Amino acid sequence: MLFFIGGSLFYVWSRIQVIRLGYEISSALKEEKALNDANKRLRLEIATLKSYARIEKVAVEELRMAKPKPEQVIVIR
Amino acid sequence: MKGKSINWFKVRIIFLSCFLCFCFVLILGRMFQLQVLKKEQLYKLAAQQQQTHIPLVPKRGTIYDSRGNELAVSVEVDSVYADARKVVEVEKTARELASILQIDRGELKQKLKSGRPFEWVQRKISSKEVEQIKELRLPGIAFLKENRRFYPNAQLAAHLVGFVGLDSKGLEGIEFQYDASLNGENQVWTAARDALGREIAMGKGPFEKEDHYRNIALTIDKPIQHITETELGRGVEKWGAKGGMAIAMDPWSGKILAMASSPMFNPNQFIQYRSKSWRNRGLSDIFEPGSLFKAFLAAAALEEQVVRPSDSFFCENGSYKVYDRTIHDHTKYGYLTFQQIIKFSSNIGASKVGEKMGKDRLYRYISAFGFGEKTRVGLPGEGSGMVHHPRYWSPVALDTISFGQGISVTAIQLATALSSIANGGLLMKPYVVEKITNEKGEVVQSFKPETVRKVISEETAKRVTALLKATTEKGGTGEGAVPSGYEVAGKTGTAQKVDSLLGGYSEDRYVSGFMGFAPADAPKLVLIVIIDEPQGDRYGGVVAAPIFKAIMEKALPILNVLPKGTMVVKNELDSAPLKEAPGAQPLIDGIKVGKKMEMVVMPDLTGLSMRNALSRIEGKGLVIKVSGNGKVVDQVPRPGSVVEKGDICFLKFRSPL
Repeated sequence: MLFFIGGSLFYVWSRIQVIRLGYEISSALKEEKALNDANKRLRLEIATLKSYARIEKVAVEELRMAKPKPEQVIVIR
Repeated sequence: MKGKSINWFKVRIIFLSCFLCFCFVLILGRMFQLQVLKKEQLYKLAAQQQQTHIPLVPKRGTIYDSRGNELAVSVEVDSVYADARKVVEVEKTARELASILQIDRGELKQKLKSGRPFEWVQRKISSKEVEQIKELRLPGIAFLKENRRFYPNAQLAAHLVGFVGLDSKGLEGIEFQYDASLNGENQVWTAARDALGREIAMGKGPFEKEDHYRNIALTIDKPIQHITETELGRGVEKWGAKGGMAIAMDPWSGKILAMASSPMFNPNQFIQYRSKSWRNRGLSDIFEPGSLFKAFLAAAALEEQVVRPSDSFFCENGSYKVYDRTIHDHTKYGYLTFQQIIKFSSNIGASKVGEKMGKDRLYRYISAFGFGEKTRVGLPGEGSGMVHHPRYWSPVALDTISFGQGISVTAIQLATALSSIANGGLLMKPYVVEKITNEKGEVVQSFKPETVRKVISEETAKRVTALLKATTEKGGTGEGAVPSGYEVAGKTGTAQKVDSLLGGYSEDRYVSGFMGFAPADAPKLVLIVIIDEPQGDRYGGVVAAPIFKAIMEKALPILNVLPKGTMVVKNELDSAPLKEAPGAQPLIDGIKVGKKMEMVVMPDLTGLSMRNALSRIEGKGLVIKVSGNGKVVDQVPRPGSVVEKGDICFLKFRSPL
C-alpha cells in the first residue's frame, strides 16, 4: 500500500516536472528567437553603416579626407 | 380511500421512474449529440483552446555580393492590426494610432467601425512605434510578425538586385528572378497552451524543421559597383543627360562585376520613384551602337583577312554618296589606313571596309558576336536588340551597319562581345549569380564560366586590340579615356537617336558611349559607359571617355592592377630574419625609379612613421626594404651618407610599447 502511494506520488511529481520543463523550454525558445532577431537586426545595422555611400560622405565631409593621387600611393607588400 | 392512496403511491413511482427514464434518455441523447454528431467540431474547439499555433513567418534568403557583403536582408518586424469587434473606443483609438503612425485618421476610423475581426492598421512598423502602441494598451489592437526586406546599401546595385513587394514577393531584378529560391515555406509551430494562455513546449519544436530558403551570392563586387555608380551618376549630372548605363565585366569568365543605371532609386522606398527609374537600362534598353560597332567590324575584317591594318582607303573628303544617301564624317579625311579609320573613327572608311566584307560575311560575324539574341545573363527584362537578316537589308544597310547605324544592341551585348576581343576570341556567357547556398551556408548550386563559341582567333584578337589601343593614343578619339599609368584599348561611339515621331534620325539627340578594357595587354576589366542624350556635347570621346577613365582609375587598383610608377615596397616581418642575400633580388616590378643619375644625401628618418619615412625618400630612386612596423629605429645607409639611385635602403621599424 505504502509502495503504491509512493509510486503514484512519484508519477504525479514526474508529470509536474515535465510540464514545468515544458514551460522552461518554450520560454527559452522564445528567448532564442528574440536574440536571433536582435542579432539579425544588429547585423543589418552593421551592413547599413558599412554602406560606401555613407563612409565616403563621412570621410570627405566630416574628416576632410581625399582620394590619394596615384603618386601618393605606396603599396606595401 | 386506502386503495386510492396506494394508487397514488404507484402513480408517483411510475411518474418518477418515467421522469428518470426521460431524463436518462435526454442525457443519452445529449451524449449522442456531443460525442457522435458534433464530435469533429468539438474536438477542433478543444484543440483551439488547448493548443496555440504560432505562425513562423517564412524567411527570405539574403543576397550577397562576391565578397560576402549583404545587399538585401530580411528582418522580422511587427505589423499592427485591429480586431474591430473588440475595439472599445473607436474615436480615441483612431486618434492615438493615427498620431503615432502618422496615417489618415478618417480611413482608420472606417476600418475600426467595420466590425471585421481582422483589419491591417499599418504594416511593417518600427520597433519604436511598437513600444508606443503597446504602452497605450488599446483593446482590439494586436501585432503580427512579418518579414521586411532591407537594402542596407540603399541605391547600390538596386537595378540589379531589384526589390520585393509588401507580401515578400520579388518584383524586379534578382529578387524577381530567384523569388522561388529565396522564399522559404510558411510554417506553423503547434504548442500546448494552459488556462492562462502560456505555451508549454511538448513534442516537436520548430527547431527541427528547415525553412528551405536559399541565399544568393552575386558576382558583383561592391567596391567596383560603388565606383561605377558614383562616377556614372556624376557624369549623367554633369552632362544633363536623360540617363546612363555602365557595365563592368571580367573578360575571362564573363562575370559581371558592376552594373549601373542612371537615374537610380532607393529600393527601400521604391514606391516613391517613378517606375522607369527601376529599369535596368544596361539590360533592357536597345540603342544604335554607332562607332562603337567599328571594333567588331575590324575584328570581322581582320579575321576574314579582307584588310590589313596598313591598307589605305580613300575617305572621299568627308562626303560619300551611296545610292540615295550621303555618308558624312565629322572631319574631312583623304586617304587613311585601316588603323587610322578606327583611330579617327571615319564612317566612310568603315563603309568601304564593310563593302569589301559583303553582307553575308558581316552578318555572320554580327551573329557570332552575339548581337540580335539575348545573352541569357539570368535577369528579367533582357532585350535582344534588332539585327535584320541580310535578305531584308536596304541597299545602304551594309554601309551604315559597318559604322553602327541600322542595328540595335544592348549594353550587355556590347560588353560581352568586347570581352571576346579582350580574352582572345572566346564569347563568354555573362552571369551575375555566383552561387546559391542553403540556410546552413552549404553551396547548393554554383555557376561556372561558360563559353558560348569561339568568334575570332587569338591572333586576330591581338591585332584588334592593337587597333583599339591606337584609338586611345594621342590624337585618337578615345584619348580622354586613359587613366595615367595604364594602357587602355577601347572605342568611342556617338550615335544619333532614331526619332520615333519623324521616322528619321534626330538632329539633337544622341547616345554617347565608350567601351574598352584595361590593361590592354592583359585585360582585367571590360567596361562600357553609355550616356543617353547628353547636353552640350555629344561625342563619346568627350562625354563618356572621362567617365570611363574615372571608373577605371579607381577600379583597377581594387583588382590588384597598379598603375605604372607605383612604389611597391616589401614588408619583411620581424619574424623573418634579414637574409644577407648575395646580390639583392629585384623586387616586384614597377618600383619608382628616378630618371637621372643623381647623388643624394640620406636623410635622418629615425622616429618617423612608415608613411612619413617613405614619402621622405620617395623619388630618390632607392630600393627600399622594410622590416617590422611602427616607427623607424634603425636605417642603413646612415643619415648623411651619400647614396645613389638604385642603392638598397634598409629601414627597421618597431612599434613603441
